[in-house]
Parts: sequence; structure tokens; C-alpha cells
Amino acid sequence: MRRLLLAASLAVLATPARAESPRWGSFQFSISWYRPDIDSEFAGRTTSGGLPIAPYAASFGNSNQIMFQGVFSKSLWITQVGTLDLGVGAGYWGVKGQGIQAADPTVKGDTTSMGIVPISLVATYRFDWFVESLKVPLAPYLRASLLDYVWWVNGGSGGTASAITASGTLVKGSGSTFGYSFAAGLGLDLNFFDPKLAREFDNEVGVNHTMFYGEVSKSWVNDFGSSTSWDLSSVGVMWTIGLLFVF
Amino acid sequence: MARSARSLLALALLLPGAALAQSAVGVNPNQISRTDCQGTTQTICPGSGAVTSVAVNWTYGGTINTGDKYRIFVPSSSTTSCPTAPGAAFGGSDIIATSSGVGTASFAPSLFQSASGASCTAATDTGVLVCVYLGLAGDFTTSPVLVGSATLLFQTAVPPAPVNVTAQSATAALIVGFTPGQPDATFTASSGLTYRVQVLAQGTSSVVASSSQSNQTSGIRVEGLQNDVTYDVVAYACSAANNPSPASATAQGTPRVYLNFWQTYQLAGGVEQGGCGSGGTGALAPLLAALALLRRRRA
Repeated sequence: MRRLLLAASLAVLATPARAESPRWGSFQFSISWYRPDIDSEFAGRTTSGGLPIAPYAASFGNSNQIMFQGVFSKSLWITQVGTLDLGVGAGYWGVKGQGIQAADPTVKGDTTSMGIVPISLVATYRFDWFVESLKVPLAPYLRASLLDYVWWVNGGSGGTASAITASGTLVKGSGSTFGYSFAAGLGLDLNFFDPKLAREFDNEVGVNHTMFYGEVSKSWVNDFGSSTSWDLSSVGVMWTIGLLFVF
Repeated sequence: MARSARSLLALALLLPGAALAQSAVGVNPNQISRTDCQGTTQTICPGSGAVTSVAVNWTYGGTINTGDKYRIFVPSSSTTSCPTAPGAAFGGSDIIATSSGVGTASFAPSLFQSASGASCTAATDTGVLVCVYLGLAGDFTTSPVLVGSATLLFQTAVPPAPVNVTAQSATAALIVGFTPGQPDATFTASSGLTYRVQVLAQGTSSVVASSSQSNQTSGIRVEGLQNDVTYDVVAYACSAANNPSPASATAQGTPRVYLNFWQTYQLAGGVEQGGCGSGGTGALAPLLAALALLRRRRA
């Protein structure tokens, strides 16, 4: 009888934990606080009145604006230690401001705006070891991205702005600027807070892990140092928060 | 005998129920403005154009027999329901019924005014009833069948004028801000209004430019003005039927040249010229080549 109970107990203990659905990729949605470092081009230069030249700040101020981004990734390499994802992303960032009166630069009026669609090719290595092996709900990660910022500037009437350069050429205020960025982040695995709901989410939708994450990044978006490009790198580092769905 | 049976049927059709469910009457458009009613035109609220005719459409769900006719009747504007029997045919004649049970007829807006006696300048809107009857064998005195009715709104009330009108300077333009006037007892609608702004040569009634907008959440931008010239600005509210409000108080504004960000950047001597970054394209080329090679190997 004892042997029978022991066998039954062992059978129960030996029952494998419910398997997760196969993992193959991830999707993340994020918001970042971004301001392009356009005015760095004019560092040290002043007007005849001694004021610093800062066209971006003059039109839009010095506040960061929110950038929305989504990245869809395919997992290329999944091990006990971590996961290597390669993905593509796109987003939107916009800012509105006021023009400067030509006759009196101290007077502002009319509207002007700038928009950016950041397109990215993203490689991420996420350390899943803490989550998978130590059952600690934290997943640090590192990320490298190639960036293409498609941008445009609008004048008060809403159309794409145009301007005459010092050499007398008419140039339209739209284009794209390439660059790259590196980021480090930490994901908080929300599955640990409600395992039952997490299992249902996996069963019904195939999402293995849902993570809230925070990230800090540094970008260099100036056509890889081109002398004819402005600098759309973020001023300082860029802070990001978001949700990551691993499936 | 057959005639009395048809009369009984007609009576049954008059009762609410399934037999009447398929019958319907409509008017298109279902409202006309002061000027439509008067047969005149105005230029402040042009909308989609003046209404020159109103179509009465109907569908009769019962059986049509040879010789049956429809009659449109427009009672006095004080009447709230169609009488049992119609008066004189609206438009002067009855309409021969076809077996489809569907009919339509168009009339000048002024005809509805003269038939109903409604005022084109009343301070409040007036609903004019349009009744459609079926006369069995063309007889409208013995138990005519009421096909249905529709209401044509004489939208004669005028919206309140916008207040707090301002004219903000922009490049070759003015951005006109305002607050909607408060609806009152005569004009109660606060939605469905559009706003019209006219820019006038200063001290005259000569309209230089105008623009309109369907809401007041942001200022109305009026383009095509001359920089450094002062203009008068007035704003109007236009009702759904295109009745203009009285003119607002006159504001004044002067367009000035403002540099947008791109112009400010170029003026400061910025190096960016727009277009695609060549440096970036060059850097991405090896990556695209590698991806293409990987794809070919897999194939």
C-alpha cells in the first residue's frame, strides 16, 4: 500500500509543467521622449546681437515630444540564456511651433511644424535566463538599430516648407536622414504577477510573455557624419517605455 | 360591390399596421433656407448651391389598379396632420399611379410657401406638411387612401453672429478666431453650423478673400492676402440650410512675413538641403546586398 502511494506521489510530481506555446518572435510598442539635436550644428555661433543661433529652439522650444514606435521581430536564436531577435520598426514623431517674423525676430506668429517617421532595422539580444531559470521576472536586453528618419517641415499654410539657401537654391523641407543607435533596457515580466491570466493569454493568443520595459538609448542620426546632413540624433540620451509581447 | 370592397381595403390600409408598413413619403431636400423660400440668392453662405426644386418621393405598399391616381396636398402651415381627404392638387394636377407603387414629383420651393402660407422670414422655423394620397380610380372625395406624409422645414431662423472675433497675423494670411454666438429662443441649434469669414479691404465692403470651416475648434485661415496691408475681418455663422447670421463686429488684422522653421534653419546657414541622405544610402547598401545574397542562397 505504501509503495502504491509512493508511486502515485512520484507520478504526480513527475508530471511535466504545462508547456508554453513555441516561441518565434515578438512585438513591442513604445513611447519615447525625443528632441532632435538640430541646434548642435550652430553651437558656438551667435547672432549680431550676441544671442545663440538656435533655429529649432526658436521655432519649437526646448521640450521633448513623444515618439511612438512599434517593432516586429523574428527570433533568430533561442537558447536557455537568451534570445536574439531581428526586427523592423516604424513610428511617428511630430512637433508644432511658431514662425518668426522676418522684420522683427522677437515677434512670433503663424504656425510651423515638423514630423518624422523613424524606420528602423533592429537587432536585440534579451537575457531570458533570469526569467526562465531563476524565475526572477526581469529580462535585461541590449539593442542595436540602423535608422532611417523620414522627415518633413511644414509652413503655416500646411504644405511642405521651402526656402532659399544662401547660394540662392530653392530647397524643399523634406527628406530622410540615416543613422544608428544603441540601447540597453530592462523588461519586467508581467506573467509573474498573474500566471493564470498569462497561461490563458498563451493558450488563446500564443503570447508567452508580456513585459513592461524601460530603456535608455543613444542615437547618431546624421547620415553617418555627413557634412551636408543635419543632426537628428536625440538631445542627450532618449528614454523609452513600452510593452513587449513575446510569442 | 367591387368598389365598396376596395374602399374597405383602403380603410384597412389607413389603419396602422403591416399594410401601411411599406408605404412611405419623403421630401428631398427636407429643409430650405430663407432665400430658397424667397427665390433669391445670397453669397455669404453659398453652401452647395441654392435649392431650386424640392422632390416629393413616395412608395405605396398596396395594390394599384388602372385609373388610380396620386394627389399631393400641402395644407396650411398651421396644420399638424394630414386631413382625411385632400384639398386641391398641389402643383395643379394629379399623378397617374403606376403598378410599381413608386412615384416622385418636383416643385419650386416657392410653391410650398404659397400653398402653405408659411412665412419666408419667420423668426422661428416652420414645418410644412406634405401629404400624398391615392385616389381609387382617381376619386379623392370618397375614402381616399393616405399614402403618408413628410415635413418640409422652412428653416427661416437665423443663427446668432459669432463674437470675440480676432484676426491673427500670418504670412500672406490672417487666422481668424471667434466664439460662437449663444443660441437663443429663436435659434436653438448649436450644432450643424458652419462659419464663414470674410476679409474686406479696410473701410470698405469689398471682399478680398473668404474662407469657411465646419467648426470653431481652431481659427479659420484666410490665404491670398498682401503682407503689411491692414484688412477688416467679419465672421458669420451659417445654419444647416445656409441662412447667414448677422455680421459679427469687425476686427482688423495685418499679414506679416513669418519664417517657418525650415526658412529659419536655412537663414541661419544650416547645411541640410533636404532629400535622401547619400551617406546613409551608402552605409545601408552592404546590408541590403547581404540580405539579397542570403535570400539567393536559401532559394
